[in-house]
Amino acid sequence: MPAIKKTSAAKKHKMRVLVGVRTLNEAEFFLTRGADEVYCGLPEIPNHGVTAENFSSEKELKATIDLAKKLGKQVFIVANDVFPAAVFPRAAAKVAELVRYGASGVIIRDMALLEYFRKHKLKTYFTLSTLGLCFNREALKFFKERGVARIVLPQHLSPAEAAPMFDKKLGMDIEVFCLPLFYEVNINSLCSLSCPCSQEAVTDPKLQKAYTCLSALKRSDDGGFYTMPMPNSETLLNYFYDYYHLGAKCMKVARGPNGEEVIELFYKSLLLTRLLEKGVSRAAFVHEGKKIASSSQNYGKRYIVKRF
Amino acid sequence: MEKALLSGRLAPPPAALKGFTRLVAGSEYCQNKLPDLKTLAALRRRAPVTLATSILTDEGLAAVSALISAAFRRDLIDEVIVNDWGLLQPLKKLTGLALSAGRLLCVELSVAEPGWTKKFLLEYGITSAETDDKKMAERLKALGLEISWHAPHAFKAVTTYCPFEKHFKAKCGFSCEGRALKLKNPHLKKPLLLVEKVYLTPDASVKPPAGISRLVVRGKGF
Repeated sequence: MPAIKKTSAAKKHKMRVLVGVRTLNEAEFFLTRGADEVYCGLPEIPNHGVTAENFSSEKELKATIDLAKKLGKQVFIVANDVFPAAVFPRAAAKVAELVRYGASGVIIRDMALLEYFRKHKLKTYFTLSTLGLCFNREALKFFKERGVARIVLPQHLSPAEAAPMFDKKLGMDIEVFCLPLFYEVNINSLCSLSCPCSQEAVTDPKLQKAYTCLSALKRSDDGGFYTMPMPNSETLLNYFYDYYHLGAKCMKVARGPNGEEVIELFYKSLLLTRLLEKGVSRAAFVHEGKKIASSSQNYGKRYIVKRF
Repeated sequence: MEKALLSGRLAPPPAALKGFTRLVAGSEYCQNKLPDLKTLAALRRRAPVTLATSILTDEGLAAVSALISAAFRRDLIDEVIVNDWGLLQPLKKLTGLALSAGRLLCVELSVAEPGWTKKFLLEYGITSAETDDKKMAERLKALGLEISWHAPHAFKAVTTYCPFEKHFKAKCGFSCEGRALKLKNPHLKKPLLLVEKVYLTPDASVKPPAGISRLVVRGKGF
């Protein structure tokens, strides 16, 4: 069943593809295989990734900026956490330095960083992370007034609910995750349940047990089992279809410490995106999409560190 | 210290109010659990009322803004707990309405650079904050905010996808009403309590830390 009956911007368009990387090799791999943009973190810049999801050196990150320039592509710096007071001046200065060096923009959550840039008369393209909790048009205006040019749409909205934020008059670029392949069960920035995302070194292959949001939990009322619910694959395929037709400009492939998993996620997400760009019908998209998304991302494997 | 009862969408039975001097209606976790004006009027006859609000979709924001305006005009509420950035601007127009940063918003505001945060709080007239976390309470107090301490449950995770009805819709059957589902498995140190769209743990002491202005207790069945 369609998530929304009719969309206002049903024209075919090409979605920009953004991928999270943590080495120069990964950046080269994705930027030469269909990605338009990559995003990169450094451990000294607060961001919502484990250490293994970050670049290990500033030198390598700068080399990635050089490579992207050469290829005519873009690099964003990920600073998608609130900067604590103790590290703020140093971390904000580092972000500014990377922008001056040539980074195309910054992915943020902390509005104090926007003010820092304004004070220092430094302009760049700011993206509000999905962690920034922008769930309605008023919130979108609130962030736009503060200098945000793109938002990553929260995963916990239906297209019908999100539609007012796609209003072209608001002038905000909208980025979405490839939801059938990447959906977080609870609102990420408001979840402190046990999870490998919050661990620094995970080697146990039986990681799924550690994910509270994916585990079977025993109910007190009837003694049965409960797992935290999320929309099913067909619903999420419909959502992705709707977001494309609403006018989403960019599709995001999240970074992860397991290179093989990121590659798989990238190719599957790219396939789904290209199907939409071909202008296939909703029914055909869902039919084909179900095959592509049949083995959706394995949370457990995702946090086993593997470089390539 | 003021003692408040979290009453949700409906009016609690009079006996439940014993020992409380304020009512907190609504919800910080679900935009559908909104009392109507009639319920707010009934609550106001018993005690001063704070309206708790959650993360909001555009439809939710319109409903909440309209309810707040009408209730404030009729003197049914004197304070709103805000958890959505988008609600701040509409509330700026309601002079005299007290604003408290909700538990979700405080995840950001309690950590952000204090100089920026103080200016932000002043700009929007936010004078208090809700929390169930002792360290967070300390940081929020240092910003000059009055603290409302929520007990005995602390929030661990939130979703906007209804765990009871399995949808995102603004219109619901209120099938969570009066229900609290206790969940456990060997990997959890403490059981989770599912209420509305939030997973809670019994982590927040009913004995609040020093310097707290208000204790907010979740009423049974709400």
